[in-house]
Amino acid sequence: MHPALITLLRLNMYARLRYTVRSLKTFRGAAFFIVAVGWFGLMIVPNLMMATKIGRTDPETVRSVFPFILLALCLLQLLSSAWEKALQFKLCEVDFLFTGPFTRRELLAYKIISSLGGTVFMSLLFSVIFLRHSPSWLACFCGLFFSFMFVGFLGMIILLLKQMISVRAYTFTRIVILTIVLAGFVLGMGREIPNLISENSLEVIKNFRESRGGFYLLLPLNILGQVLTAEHYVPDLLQWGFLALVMNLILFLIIMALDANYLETSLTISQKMYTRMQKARKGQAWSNFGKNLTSRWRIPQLPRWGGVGPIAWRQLTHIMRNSGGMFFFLIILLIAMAPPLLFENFKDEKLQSFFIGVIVWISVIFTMSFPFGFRGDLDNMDWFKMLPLSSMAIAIGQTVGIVFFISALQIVLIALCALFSKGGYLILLTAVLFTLPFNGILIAMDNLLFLLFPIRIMQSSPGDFQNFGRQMVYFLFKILALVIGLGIAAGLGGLLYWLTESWVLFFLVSWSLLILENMIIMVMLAWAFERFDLSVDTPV
Amino acid sequence: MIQVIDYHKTYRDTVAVRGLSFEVNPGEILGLVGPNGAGKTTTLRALAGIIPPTQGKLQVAGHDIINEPVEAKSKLAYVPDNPNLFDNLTVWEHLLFSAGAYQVAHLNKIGDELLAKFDMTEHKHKLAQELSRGMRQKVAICCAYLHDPKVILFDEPHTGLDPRGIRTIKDSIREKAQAGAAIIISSHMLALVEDLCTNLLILHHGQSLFSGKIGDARKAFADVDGDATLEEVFFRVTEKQNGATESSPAPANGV
Repeated sequence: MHPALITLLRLNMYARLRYTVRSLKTFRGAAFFIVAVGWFGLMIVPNLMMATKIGRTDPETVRSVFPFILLALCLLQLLSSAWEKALQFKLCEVDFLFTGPFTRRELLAYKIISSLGGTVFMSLLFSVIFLRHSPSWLACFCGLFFSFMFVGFLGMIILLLKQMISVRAYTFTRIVILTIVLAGFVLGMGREIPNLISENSLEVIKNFRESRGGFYLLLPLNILGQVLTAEHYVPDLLQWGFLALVMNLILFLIIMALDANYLETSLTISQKMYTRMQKARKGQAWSNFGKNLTSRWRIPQLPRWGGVGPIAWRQLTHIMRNSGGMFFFLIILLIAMAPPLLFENFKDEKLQSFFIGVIVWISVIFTMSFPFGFRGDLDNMDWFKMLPLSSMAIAIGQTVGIVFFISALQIVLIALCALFSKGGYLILLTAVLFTLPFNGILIAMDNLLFLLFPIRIMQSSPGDFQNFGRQMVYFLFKILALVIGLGIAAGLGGLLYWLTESWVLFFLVSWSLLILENMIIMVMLAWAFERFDLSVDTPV
Repeated sequence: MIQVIDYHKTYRDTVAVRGLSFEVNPGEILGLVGPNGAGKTTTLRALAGIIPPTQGKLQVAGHDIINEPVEAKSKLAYVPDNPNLFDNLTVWEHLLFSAGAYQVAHLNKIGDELLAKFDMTEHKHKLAQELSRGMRQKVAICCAYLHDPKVILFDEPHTGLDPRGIRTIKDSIREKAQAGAAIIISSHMLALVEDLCTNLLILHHGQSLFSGKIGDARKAFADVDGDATLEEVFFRVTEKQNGATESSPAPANGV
């Protein structure tokens, strides 16, 4: 590899270390780090205890299942655009490396080595989490490390092949020949299908494993499974580990041998990823998952309402035009909900409560992952600041649209539950009534935290404890605020119920208290917007 | 020094550049102008070896950018319109990496001189993420100048720079050209192109509408009051082409 690329790898490693040390010197950075380490500890310790106290999974079971998990992972990546990450360079790498005096092979080697740190970190983490499914930690680490490498290399090969084919098969004749070859391959695989059919799903897996196609397809994955479940260091781990290493080396050599001109593809992927990140920062993350509505879709102007109207109208237009992906998620959610809804026991109120819980949880996760309101408007804060409107009007306008939008979606889902249930309407009605104030607190709190501690959405790399800790702290604060808010409302409502035994009074008081809390948070949000200093609080 | 012969670039159904041919000799500064989407950045990126041409031949310092990319790129520098730096590296570390890539000896001397020239000495140990837009541009230019390239490609080099920065870069471009470098500047700032460039290439819809010396362009479009300004040349050429496109298909060759 070119010495300059080795220098760059060294500089990047040093930069990562410097970033961590600098962050640790600040109170906030240290706190984020501790929270992240604590969180990982909470994930790791129970798994370690289970591995030592409960015992390990039977290696034979892991050997039969693990290759299929890997196969599913490969297929899932193949069907999605996740493979593309294999050839994704950062935009700074595009600017500096693609125009630099480096061969394509040197750049690929740089890419592979630079991602090695992340692979080691992921393998370390998961080797502890999955320890109880492996006879030893070393076997688990090696098995996972080689598996991650294998999946990554395979992705790279597929992308490079795709690139070569798209360059060479651009004539009609070549496309026809390629189609015939592919059709032959699919037909060949198709001949095996009748032999696989069985009523028992385990039998299907067994038949697939024993078929000729299945044997060859699973052969490399079986080797990785053997590494993960190696019962002795010598000869099991040594032997299977060596085979897995050779297998990965072959894939690496294939990558080097292909030497496709991938730079343009890589540039396109990098720009696409950058655009996605930019969209996420602007609250358009939904649009990354589906087709967006065009400017032809309009909503009528709202009345002025002291300045709330125009701001809310802009937010609603923004939400509507970026909601293509949101509807895609809603359809998936409906499909996932369909089977339980059709079950006879959906009459059970417990199941309905569970569903409502799921719907609520989804809104918590969605608001966290996809910023709306001020969080999605960080780049437009100067525009809001210069508007001749009160900060209260801006705060309400920025949040009210998304609150109504999410509430409307949830009400649709709850109505669907009501359609299939044969009772328990009171729970569903309660859910409908409380949707709006609940979402109000959730969204306003989310925006309040953002205005007080603004951060930009950025691409996180494995091992970035500060960033992970930051996300966790935000999440915990939000949940804490929700618990306190809901707790006060439910507590006072409950007190009245205890005194009067009236459900109506309970709901009325709780609902009124939630509305009051919404108003208080809105005042706080307006105050936070007013004190937001563009010169200090706008993170890079 | 730079030779482009029958360059075509197609993205699926979109033709970004069609049949472009031009040359830039040592000491010449070519102003690449054209409306948005004319194919300027596509041409520069192809010359920098980032994107391959669909058809045609591109040579940099006597090396084919496709067949001898490393040789060509070692004599080339490309400053994009919005340079992306390594956010966690310092200004000096960017120079350190560039020096390694282009095998520059005496980095300390050359690097310090460049930083001083662009008023970046006090920011030497700052992280890229702490720099303003203009400063990032200056870092990219310092990295580009480090190995004394024979061919320099600038895409909107003055964006984000302060007046002093603009003057410094203009002077440095002239110096590089006088020293024998072949330079291409893509810009929408016609006054600047007029002031700095020796040659002109007007692109429109991926086609060359004019290619030649700036003086020739002025004379070709001169009116009764004397030679035309570059702005007048630009609007006459592109508007004439727009009129021609509306009434009939575009001609295969430029003016």
